[in-house]
Amino acid sequence: MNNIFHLYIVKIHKHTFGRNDASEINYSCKNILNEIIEQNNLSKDSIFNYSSLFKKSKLKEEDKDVFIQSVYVLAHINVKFLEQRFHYLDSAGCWEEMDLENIFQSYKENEFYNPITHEKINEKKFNDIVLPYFCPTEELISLLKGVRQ
Amino acid sequence: MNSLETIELKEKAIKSIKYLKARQAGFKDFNVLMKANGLSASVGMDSVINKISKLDEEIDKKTIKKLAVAIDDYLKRHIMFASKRIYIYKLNKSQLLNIKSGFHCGDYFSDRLEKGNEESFDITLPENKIKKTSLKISLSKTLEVFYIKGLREYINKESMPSLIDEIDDNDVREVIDVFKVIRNKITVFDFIALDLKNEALILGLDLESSFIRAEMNKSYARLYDIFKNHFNITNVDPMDLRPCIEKMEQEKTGNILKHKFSTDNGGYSHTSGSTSKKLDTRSDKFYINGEKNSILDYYGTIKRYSLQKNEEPIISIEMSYREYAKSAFSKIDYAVITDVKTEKGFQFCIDKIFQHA
Repeated sequence: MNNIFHLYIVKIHKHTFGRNDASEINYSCKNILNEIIEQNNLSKDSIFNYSSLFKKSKLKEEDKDVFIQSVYVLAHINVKFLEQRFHYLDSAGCWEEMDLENIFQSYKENEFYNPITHEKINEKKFNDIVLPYFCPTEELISLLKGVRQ
Repeated sequence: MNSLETIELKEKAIKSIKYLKARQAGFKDFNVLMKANGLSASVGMDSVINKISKLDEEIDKKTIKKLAVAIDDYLKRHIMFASKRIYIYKLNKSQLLNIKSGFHCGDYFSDRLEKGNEESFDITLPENKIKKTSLKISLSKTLEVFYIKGLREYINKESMPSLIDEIDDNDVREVIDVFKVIRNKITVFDFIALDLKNEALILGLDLESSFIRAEMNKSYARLYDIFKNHFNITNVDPMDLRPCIEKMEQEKTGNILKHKFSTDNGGYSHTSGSTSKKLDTRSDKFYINGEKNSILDYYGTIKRYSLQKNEEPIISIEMSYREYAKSAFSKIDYAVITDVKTEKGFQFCIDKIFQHA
């Protein structure tokens, strides 16, 4: 476990090196790492929303910017601790996964649709309907699997 | 194929996508299908329509043909399986066979049911409320489905901020929003299914998730009215599906997406759900600990099963807390089946309900 923790800490430090907010981000990332790695039922289907990550970060509300940056760092391709995904509540009341490519393309083309009614909507409305969440990366899960076996 | 035929094919494909859009079909699978048949990735149904309408009748003839076939098949499956509310009536084999021959002989036509296009799903919007017969499909050797074309309406509200200034206000009142209320009409394909294996008649309503409950209840009453005397079901109640709930909770396979139960002799009620179709609400530590120490009385469940080829049908059987609390014997008349893609998946859901009822 320790090794996994250090592996990610090193990646995070490398990634945030030279930034003004590096120490705050490292602090919050470390807290999040700790809690998630120690969670014993972690699987590739585990889900974290912003609120749960914020609690794990041990930051205060005035550190909102640091928190957002920390989450970006953890999900960054250089760190690969978390993976960002998107879903929406369908009309049957279940959460439906959105295709990531589709979301990137929507932003690129600045063209957004309501995933249920297919009506054209603006970015703000789209962000109200399609919500982000985070899950552990496959890399993290396979590292943890190796340790636990 | 000449270019006139290609133009027709293109128009039909666009019409079908517009109908899929109105049916609120999911875009994810559809996008994959369009990509597999020659289009680049799109962001929404409208952009698929745009791309198809820009295809050249001569140069892109092959692509148009491929797309048209794929869209046709996708639409057919959506009509056959997507989001169905079903009511089950226990009838014996001979009663079912009688009903079957009644359909074949055209015994059920009246001022409320006319003969329609029985060769394909005709999606043109009906001009009136008279229902029409449509395709008859054998989903398996023992499950025959007669689709009935009809019309259903839903209302939605859209905010019109640009009209705010046009409305009078005064010093103490300020108009802060204006809505337009729109009545949408849509072609639906309800169905009558004859299940010889489970010995049951099934009344099915199309597009449960797109309509409010009252509209669906009204549609059920209409469909029931057409057939009740013919089928001799006036004295038979739909099968009570409430017993399924607890058994589905106990059954290990599949995952519960949402369930409702009360604790402490009805003192508290809980609704809990997973925020992903992959998770099982029963694996939530909070639930596991709570369940150990209390007696739970379930009154609703939404459960997903994993079948072959990425087919993951969802069966919902639930009632509101009000219905549950009203009586010790409150019944659940119908189940909702969603995310079915194949004949096998449909049969599976029906069999599953019978297994637990």
